[in-house]
Amino acid sequence: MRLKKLFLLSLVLCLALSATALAQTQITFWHAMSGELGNAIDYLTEKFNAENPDIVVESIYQGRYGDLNTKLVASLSAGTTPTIAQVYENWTDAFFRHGVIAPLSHYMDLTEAEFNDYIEVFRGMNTWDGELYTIPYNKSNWVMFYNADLIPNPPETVEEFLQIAKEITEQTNGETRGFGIRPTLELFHAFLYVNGGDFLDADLNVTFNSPEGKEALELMIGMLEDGSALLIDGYENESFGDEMIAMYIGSSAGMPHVENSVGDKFQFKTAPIPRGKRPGAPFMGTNIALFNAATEEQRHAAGKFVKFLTNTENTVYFAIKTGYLPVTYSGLNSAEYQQFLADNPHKAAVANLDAFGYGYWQPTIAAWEEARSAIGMAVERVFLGEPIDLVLEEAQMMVEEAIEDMLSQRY
Amino acid sequence: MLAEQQMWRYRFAKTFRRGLLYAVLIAGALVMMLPFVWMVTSSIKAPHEITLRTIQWLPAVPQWENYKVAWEAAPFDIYFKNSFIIALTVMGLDVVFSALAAYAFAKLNFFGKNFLFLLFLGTMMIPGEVMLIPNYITMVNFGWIDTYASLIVPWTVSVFSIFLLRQFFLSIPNELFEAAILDGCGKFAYLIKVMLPLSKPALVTVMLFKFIGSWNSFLWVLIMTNTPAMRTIPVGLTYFVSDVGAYYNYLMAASTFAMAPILILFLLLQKQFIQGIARTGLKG
Repeated sequence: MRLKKLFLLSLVLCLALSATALAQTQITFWHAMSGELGNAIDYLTEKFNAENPDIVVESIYQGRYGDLNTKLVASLSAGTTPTIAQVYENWTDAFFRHGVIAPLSHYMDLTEAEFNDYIEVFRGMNTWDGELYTIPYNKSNWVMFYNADLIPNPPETVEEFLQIAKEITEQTNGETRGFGIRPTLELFHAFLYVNGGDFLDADLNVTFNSPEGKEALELMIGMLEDGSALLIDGYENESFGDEMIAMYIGSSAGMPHVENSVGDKFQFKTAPIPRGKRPGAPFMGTNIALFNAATEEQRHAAGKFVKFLTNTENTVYFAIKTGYLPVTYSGLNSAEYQQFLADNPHKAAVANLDAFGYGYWQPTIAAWEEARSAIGMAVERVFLGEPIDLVLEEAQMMVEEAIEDMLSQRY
Repeated sequence: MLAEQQMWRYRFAKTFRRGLLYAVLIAGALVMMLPFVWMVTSSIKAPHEITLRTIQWLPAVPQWENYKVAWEAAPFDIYFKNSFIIALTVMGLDVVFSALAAYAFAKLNFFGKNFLFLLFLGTMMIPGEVMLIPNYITMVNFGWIDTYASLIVPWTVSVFSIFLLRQFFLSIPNELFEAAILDGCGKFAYLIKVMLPLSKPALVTVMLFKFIGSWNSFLWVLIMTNTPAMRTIPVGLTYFVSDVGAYYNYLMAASTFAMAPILILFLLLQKQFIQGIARTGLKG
C-alpha cells in the first residue's frame, strides 16, 4: 500500500516537473549565417538558453540570404513562419505592407537610454511608421581596402584617389592597377552618393538619372580607360590579395576573406571612402524582424532574446568574431571593442565613428528588390560599352514602374 | 610486292586514323578533367594560392588539414547519411515506378494512352521554381516538413525517367512480345524477364541521373527541412560561400568528398552500362 502511494507520489511529481518543462516558451530564429558567423550565433543562443530556463530558442540556418527570403515567403503562405528572422530592409517593407510583422521593439522593454543606445543610422534603417519595427543585428559598412605597402597615405578626397590610382598603375607599369572595379550597384552608389546624388529622393522619385549619376559612371569608366583601374569579375578580395589592384571599395564583412587572400604578402589597411562633394559611408547588413503569428509569450520571449543578442557584451562578441559592427554606441565605445581595434589597426576604418554621422543606406522599399536588379543591370550595361544616357533613362523607367506597381496594386 | 605495299599503306592509314581519334579523345578528356584536377589540387592549397593570376597547380605545402576543417565546419556525417538514404531510395523507387509506367506507355494499349503521355510530358515544361511554394504548402498540410517523406516521396516519380525508358522500350521489337505471349508468358512476367534485362543501359542511365539529381538537390531540401538532422550535403557546401567571399580551399575539399560517391557509383555502373549495351545486341 505504502509502496503504491510512493509510486503515485513520484508519478505526480514527474507530471508536475514535465508540466514546468512544457511551460517553456519555444521560439525559432531563422538566419543566414554560416561558418564562423553561424558558430557565433549558436554560441549566443546556447548562452541565452542556459540563462533563461523558461525559454527555448532554436536558431536555424536557412541558407544564404536569397534562400532565406524564399523560405520566408513560402512559410508566410503556409502559415509556418518562424518567431523571428534576419531580414533586409526591403523585405521588411514588403512584410510591413502585408501586415505580417509586429514591431519588435514593443516587446523588448527598452528604456529611453537603451533605445538611444542603438546607433542612429541603424535606427533609421529599422524604422517604419515612426516605430523601431526591426532591430539591427549584423550591420556592416563599406570601406576602402588598400595596400599599405604601395600606398602609405590613403586618399581622403576623390581627386586624391584618382591621382593615387593613376600613380600606382604608372609606378608598377600596369602590373598592379590602382583600383579594382566590379560593376555593381553598390560601387555605383558609393560614387553617386559622394557626388551629391542618390538613387531615390524621400518621395520615391528617381534621382540617379541625373548629372550626378552620369558623372559617377563616367568617373569609373574613365579610370578603366586610362588604365588606373582594372575591371574585375568575382570577389574583389581575390584580385586585391593577388596584387592585381591596390585599392577597392567593399564590405567590412569581407574582412576575413581579405585577410585570407592577402596572407603575409603585404600589409593592408582600411580607410573611409574618399569624399567628393560630400562624404558618405554606406551601411548594409540585416536586421531582426518579429512575425505576427507569434503568441504573446513568444513575442516577449523573442524581445528578451533580441535584447540579449544586442546588449553591449554580446554585440561586441559578435562584432569581434565576425567583422560586423557593434549595433550600439556602448558596444562601439566599450573597452573590449576599442582594444580589439587597437590590436587590429587594419580594421580601424570599419568602426570609424565619423562615418556614422554621414552614413547612408539603400532604399528600404519593397520594390527595391526589383529596382536594384534594374539598376544593377544598367551598371553592367554601361561597362559593356552602352551609352550612359540611354541606359540610365531605361533604368529610370523600370524603377518607376516597379515603384508604381508597389504603390498601386500589389499591397 | 604490290600487295605488301598496299598492306603497309592500309596499316599506316589505320594507325593514323586511330592515332588521330585518340588524340581528339585525349584532348577532350583533358578538357573534362581539368576542373576536377583544379578542384582536387585546390583542396590542399593555402587560401592565397588559389586565386593567383598565374595558375599554380600544386600547393607549396599541401594543406591536408583543409579536409579536417571542411569536414568539421558542418555536420557532414549526418548530411552524408541523409544524402545516401534519400538518393538511394529515390533512385530505387523511381526506377521501379518509371519502368512500370514506361512499359504501359510503350507496349500496352489502354484508353487515352497518348493523351495521358502528352499530359505527362507537358508537366516537364513547368519550371520547378514555380511549383516550389505550392509544393511546400502541400508538404506542410501533409505534416511532412522535416521528415524523409517530403525529401523522398515527391521525387519517386519522374516524367523524364518515364520518357527515357519509354523511348527505349519502344525500340525493342514487338515480335519478342508476341512470341513471349504465345509461349504463355504474362504481361508482367514479360516486363520482368524480357524487357528489363534488355533495357539495362537505359535503366542504368535513369538510375544514374536520378541519383545525381537527388544527391545535388539543394533548394528543395533547404525549404522542406528545419533541422540539421534532416539536411543533406549540398546544404553543407553553402557554409563556405557568402555574399562577400568564399573559402575556396575548404569548399574544394568539401566538394571533393561530396562528389566521391557519385564518382564511385559511376565507375561501378559504367561497367554495367557497357555490359548492358553488349548484351542487348543493339549495336547491330
